[in-house]
Amino acid sequence: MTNRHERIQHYLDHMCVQVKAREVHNDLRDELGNHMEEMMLDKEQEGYTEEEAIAYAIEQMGDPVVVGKSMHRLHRHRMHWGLLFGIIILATISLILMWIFTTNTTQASYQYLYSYHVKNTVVGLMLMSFFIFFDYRKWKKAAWWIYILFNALLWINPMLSSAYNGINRYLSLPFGFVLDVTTVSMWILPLAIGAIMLDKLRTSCSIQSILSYIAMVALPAVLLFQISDWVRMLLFGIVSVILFGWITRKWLYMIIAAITTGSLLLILLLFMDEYRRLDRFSVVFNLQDDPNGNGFIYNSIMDIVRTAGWWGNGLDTRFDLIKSNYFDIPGVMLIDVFGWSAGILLLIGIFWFVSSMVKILPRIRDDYGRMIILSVTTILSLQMIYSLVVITGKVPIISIAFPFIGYGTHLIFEYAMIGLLLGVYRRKDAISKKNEKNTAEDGRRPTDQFIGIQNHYRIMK
Amino acid sequence: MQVNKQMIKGSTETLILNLLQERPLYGYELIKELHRQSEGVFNLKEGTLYPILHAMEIEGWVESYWMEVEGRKRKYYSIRDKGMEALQSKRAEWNMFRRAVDRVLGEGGLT
Repeated sequence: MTNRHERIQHYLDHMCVQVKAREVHNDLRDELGNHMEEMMLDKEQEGYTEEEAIAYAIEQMGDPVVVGKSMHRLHRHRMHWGLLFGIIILATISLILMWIFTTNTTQASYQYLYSYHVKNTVVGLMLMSFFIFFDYRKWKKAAWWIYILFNALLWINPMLSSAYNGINRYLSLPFGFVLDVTTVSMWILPLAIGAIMLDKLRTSCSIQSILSYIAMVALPAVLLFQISDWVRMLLFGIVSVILFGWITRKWLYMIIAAITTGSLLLILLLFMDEYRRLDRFSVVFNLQDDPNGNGFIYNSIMDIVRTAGWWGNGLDTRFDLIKSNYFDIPGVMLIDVFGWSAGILLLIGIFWFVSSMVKILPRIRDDYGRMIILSVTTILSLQMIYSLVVITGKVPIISIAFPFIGYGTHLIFEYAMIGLLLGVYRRKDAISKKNEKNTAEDGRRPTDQFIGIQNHYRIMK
Repeated sequence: MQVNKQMIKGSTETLILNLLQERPLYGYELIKELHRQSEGVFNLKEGTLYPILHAMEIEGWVESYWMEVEGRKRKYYSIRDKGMEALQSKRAEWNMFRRAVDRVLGEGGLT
């Protein structure tokens, strides 16, 4: 309604000045404006003049500043201080750890690690702040383009870049930047696929929409397989299956999907893997057979962790038990320097993170926002937990990143993803219901509600 | 008859939830309904109503959706399961309070 009465406009302007979250202004204006207009119409029918009717409506609404202030308190942008605080502590620990490593290590080639680590952290924190303040809902419109872009990157990367450990993960960009294509795809693609398929699967979970979800997941999975980045492929697969279950709530299908993709992966690992990963991994189950060969590193890990004690070796850590692989296993580095207490504290931190994300999930009213939280929390915590379990020496060392602690450009994406979480949380009470197709959360369609309303009008009349 | 404002304030949420339990309503309708059902005792100000409705939506007690009815766009509120639970406990609380007041006033022999 554009041609509202001037005095009503004026009232609404005064009220909206008080409400800082601009995204709710339209909703508020329409809701309260329409209310005042209906009140006016009723009063005019009772015989009031237009002026009297307006004066009455404004008087009934109350002081615009008071109403606006109470609306502001309700629809304020929020900050999840606990999560922000946790991330800052993690960043500090990580920087101290890397600083001690570069100062104490005898390998000259590792001296540069600290400055790169600082650079990655700073870029990550900058991206994090960007994602906090940029409205995440705007990405939804670009979901198709993002999906196409990252699939294209995965496809052309093997042709443009050279392989590192047999994997074409890194794409060199101008100005010396390097993009870890598979890691960024693992983070972004589930969100893009979810954005495209969420409403479709929620409103009609037909065979057709299930098949298109599978097709959308299969394309990047095949591309990741072609790059032979098994770790990212596995994480991407796990998140896709979990998201599918969460969106459709068809748990039987989800279990079938998990078993099918799991066995497919196992068959591929057994027959198609030229690097014989399974053989290498099986070392961890019988370390005593080969204590100096492949089992050496796992035995060293257990030695380091055993001797680290509760408080670690601190500034005196020598980093001489494992020569080359030290920063491939940042968990061991962490325990060596800060001791078992750091490991236990981090484990508690991970559980706190997951449980507080689960707790805020029902408080996020935007379906897409909930999906982001689910997806990001899953990938982050899986990586964190695996990286911590590595220090037991009982699981194979794979290229899974240790979020925030490990060395590498993966840090940048982890900070960005935390920014996305904080951005969702920030807007949880500032959701606009206007122009939304589906407001029901439990899969009910608006048409169901519409029928309900038609019924009640029938009863009324 | 005028009723003390403090007395109305504490029970507004219960009354709103109770009305929404019957069917979804939009703000203006809610106020008129409250006025009608209470035979004019409850004259809720709109400036009070909307913050309560919005707070209840953030709590997850009600949900809102826009719909066009009779050529007018209206924001309807409908009750959710969590709101039903809140209503049950508020009702129980109110019944206890009412019985206690009745008992005291009854014993005093004033009525």
